[in-house]
Amino acid sequence: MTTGAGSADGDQEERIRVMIVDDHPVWRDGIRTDLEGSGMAEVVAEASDGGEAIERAREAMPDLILMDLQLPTVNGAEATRRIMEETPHVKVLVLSASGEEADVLDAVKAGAHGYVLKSTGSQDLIEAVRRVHRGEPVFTPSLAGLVLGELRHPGRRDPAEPVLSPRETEVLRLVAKGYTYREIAEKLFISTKTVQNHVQNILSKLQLHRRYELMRYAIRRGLDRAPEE
Amino acid sequence: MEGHDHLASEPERGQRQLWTAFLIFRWGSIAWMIVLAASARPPLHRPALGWIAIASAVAWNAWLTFTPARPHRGALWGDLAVTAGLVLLSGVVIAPGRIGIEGPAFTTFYKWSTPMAWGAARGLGPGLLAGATLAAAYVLSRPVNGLPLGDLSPGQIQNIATTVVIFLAIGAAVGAVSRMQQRASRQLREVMQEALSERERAGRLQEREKLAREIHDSVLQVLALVHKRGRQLAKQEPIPPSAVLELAGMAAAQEDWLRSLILRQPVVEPREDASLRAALESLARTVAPTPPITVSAVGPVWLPSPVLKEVLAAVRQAVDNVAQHAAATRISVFAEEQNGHVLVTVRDDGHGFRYDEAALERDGKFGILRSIKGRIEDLEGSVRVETAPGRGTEIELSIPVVRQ
Repeated sequence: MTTGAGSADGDQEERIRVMIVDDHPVWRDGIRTDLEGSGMAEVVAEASDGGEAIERAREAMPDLILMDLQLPTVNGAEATRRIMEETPHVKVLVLSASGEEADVLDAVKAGAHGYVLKSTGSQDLIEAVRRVHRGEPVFTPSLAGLVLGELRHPGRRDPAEPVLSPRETEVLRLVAKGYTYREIAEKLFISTKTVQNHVQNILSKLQLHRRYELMRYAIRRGLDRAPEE
Repeated sequence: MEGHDHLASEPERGQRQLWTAFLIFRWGSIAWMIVLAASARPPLHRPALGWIAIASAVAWNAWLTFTPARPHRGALWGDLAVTAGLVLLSGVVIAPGRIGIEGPAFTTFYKWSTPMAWGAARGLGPGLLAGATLAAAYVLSRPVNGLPLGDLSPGQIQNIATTVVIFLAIGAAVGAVSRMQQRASRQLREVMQEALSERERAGRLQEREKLAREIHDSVLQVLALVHKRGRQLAKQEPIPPSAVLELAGMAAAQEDWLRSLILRQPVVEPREDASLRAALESLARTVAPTPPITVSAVGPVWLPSPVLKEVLAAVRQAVDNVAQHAAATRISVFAEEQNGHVLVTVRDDGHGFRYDEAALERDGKFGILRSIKGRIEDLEGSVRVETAPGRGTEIELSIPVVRQ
């Protein structure tokens, strides 16, 4: 729940404070209409590029950011990274065109909590916003496939490198096969909450993996060498 | 490319023929050694030792002939040692002081074949080295026979010098010729490969022209239409929202299409392999009206083109089957490679069914599944069906892949 200005009515849950980041004004208007029409969200800020997004996020303190990836100045993944550093409690839902999966993976590594396609219908978009706000990671099958490719290499030797547990791999494969969390839960005889936890852990491992790669890169380049050496 | 195997095997076949010729030469010279040893006048000075030497030559060459592995570095050194041993031993088995004077040498022409083998296998330098080693053994066999090098007559010295030169010349000549032949066949192969890649380049150029045509036929036409309709609409007083939506719809369809076109541009593909992910994505876009299909894959998933064609046909049948019978709202296709198998899953959230092959067969409902199974089993793969009434259906195709 947010701590922002509460609604006087008090009969409904508080509306989600959303910021929309996209470089097309028409697109932003469309989403604003969808979200506000649903009554569950209010759009507190808009930004048309990455740099602006970082500033506006600081001022408007939204609960959730709908982030496009192809942005002028600072791209969506980098903006996500910086915003997550400044305000870790904010949720980021990536909204991008199909076929940008590599960028989406970048954004998820930077801390994004979910990903939906721009072609998603408004009902599904609103549902995704609601779910991400509740803390559920929102995944698409294609993103699951990408993450599997990123984190599952059999020939891995370095114990410091984060890898998926067998259970996490199983869950991720089912997501990639198009199973919903509820269906996965039934199939594996666990609760939906546990499935969500697995997916959440997978996302954290992705972020860990990014840090691990940066560290490896630094070691290779000798940047970690002590100055007196 | 069928041409490649042919090209690769050409020098190899030459090597095999050379090896056979070498073995025939060997066995011929061994037979000659036996004949001479049996009929030597005067008889061999140390007959037992002579026959043991011949027996070991027979054993060594029998191994060379019947070992499945082709001669390698170790065998060459072994052969050099055996031959040098025979040459040195000839100083012992022939009556003292008689070597090179009466009758032909104990080793006959067996000794010439070793520098030949070295030259053929390793080229000029090693050929010379083997020749020099045997020449040294040959020279040494004189003092072994009780003929000190200082006491040799001018005629004997001339004989020895000639033999030394022949040893060196054989190794060097065979080595040089063999290198020339290898270089020539390598050049031939390079030329052929260049011709092949030229052909591929031409094919790719053609593909590009096809793309340009497609863009022209579809995107440019639609853009022109949007342009014209847009101008017409601007003149109408109340602009009908449905007309604007229609324009937006056309633009969106083309945007999707163009995007897929850009993404489809293959990165460097392994020769003759194609990406199953790309093929599935294009299938999902082009297949006849079905529930929406999402495609997910771990990496590009490379498959040889003929295999990919069959897999794709099987997936298409599975999708058609869902569209016709399952009353599903969604189809998911997932592909990955695991433990030497490509796994493709086609899943729907439709009404599912009781999976009992015999019962399905009886009711005439097994046709499509059987045809999917047939296709995949032809690829030595297997099909697994997981379904139950009300629980959707998951069909998993598993196809073995060989990676070199």
